[in-house]
Amino acid sequence: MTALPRRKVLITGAAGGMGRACARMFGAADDLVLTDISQDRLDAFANELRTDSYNVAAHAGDMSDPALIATLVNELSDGKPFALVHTAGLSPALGDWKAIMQVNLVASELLLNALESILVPGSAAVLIASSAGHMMPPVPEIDAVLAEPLSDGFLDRIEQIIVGMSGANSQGGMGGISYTLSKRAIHTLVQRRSQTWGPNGCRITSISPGMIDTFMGRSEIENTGGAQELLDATPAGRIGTPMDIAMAAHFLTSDNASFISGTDLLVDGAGTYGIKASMAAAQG
Amino acid sequence: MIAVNTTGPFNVIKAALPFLQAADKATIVNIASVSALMPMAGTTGYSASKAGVAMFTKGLAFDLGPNIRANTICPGVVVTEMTRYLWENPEHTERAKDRVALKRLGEAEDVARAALFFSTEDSGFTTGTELPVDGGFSWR
Repeated sequence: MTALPRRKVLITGAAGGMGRACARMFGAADDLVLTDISQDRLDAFANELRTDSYNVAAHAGDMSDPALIATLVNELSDGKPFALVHTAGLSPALGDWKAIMQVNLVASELLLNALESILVPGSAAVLIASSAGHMMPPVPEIDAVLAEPLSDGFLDRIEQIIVGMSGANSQGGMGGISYTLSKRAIHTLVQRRSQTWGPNGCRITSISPGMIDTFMGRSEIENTGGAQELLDATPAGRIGTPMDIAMAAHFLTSDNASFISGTDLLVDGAGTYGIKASMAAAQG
Repeated sequence: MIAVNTTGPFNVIKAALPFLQAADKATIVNIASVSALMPMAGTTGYSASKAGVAMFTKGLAFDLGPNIRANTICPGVVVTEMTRYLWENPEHTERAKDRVALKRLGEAEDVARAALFFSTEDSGFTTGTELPVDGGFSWR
């Protein structure tokens, strides 16, 4: 094993299924800065890691709180390259359409804006999107709205789009469409930011997980029809594990991926194409 | 172009198939190009041959899974013999770099490292997909 200088790695949603796997994977060789909305779960996990000799700083809070963002930025402000693994997010079963858009897109935009001030060549970010983001065709007018999540009236425009897509009547409801839109927005955000980060020697990518065996994934399977359909249509023949995501995130933020930026990596067992094929077959 | 870039991978995988299927787990990594993802003037045949190998590979993920995984790497401009005409000319090199977010050309090792990722269980839940290794092409 090559000895590398320890980086600082910020992991959001660190007490969640993917966050925990990422913390263990990265924490073996990097110093961890963890955040999560749940103080209790984060503290318990951070203490567990410290007992196992991991180097951990932990700050619980809401990602839309500027004070929390400032604290996290401060943790990473030592002038060295850092990595971000942004797993915090809400799935359709865990919030209404507004909360989903707020957490998945608006908070991501705020976090990246804050981190841009301390980017150092060699820094790398990976954002957890979703295979759902690949389920809608690109619509330039919608992409244009999604590109400005901090603009006045953003959520009103999103509501119009969701209603226009017959959101309340669709299988996943307003929340399902909001989720799809928010994850599509992560794909395009990564493309855009890669262009401004690149000349500074910094990289940004996303991962689109398919059905993954986390609390969130299991909630979707229990509460929404589409999740089980996705799992059934996955050619890999199994549900993904949080460690599958952690290993992909580790690769994408490592020097092994130093020429990879502005792109999304599907870690879905080919389920995204599988579900499209089975939907097409069902329509005859 | 089609014979080498598209039929070539088909022939290789056909020949290797008994060995791949005999293995407990196996992976296929094909090398296409960003030209498989976006059209560019003057590259019609090349782009078609590379788009062909990308979709061929995607199909393999369905037909040979779950024991065999199949993924495609889509390199951008990488410094090899094939791109000598480009990197030997400073003007062309500058233009090529400028199209890339990271403002450099790729090295063969960049592609090799991605191939290693796809060849191991580190990518155990990824199959049937394309990964651009292109430094972030602005027009992709």
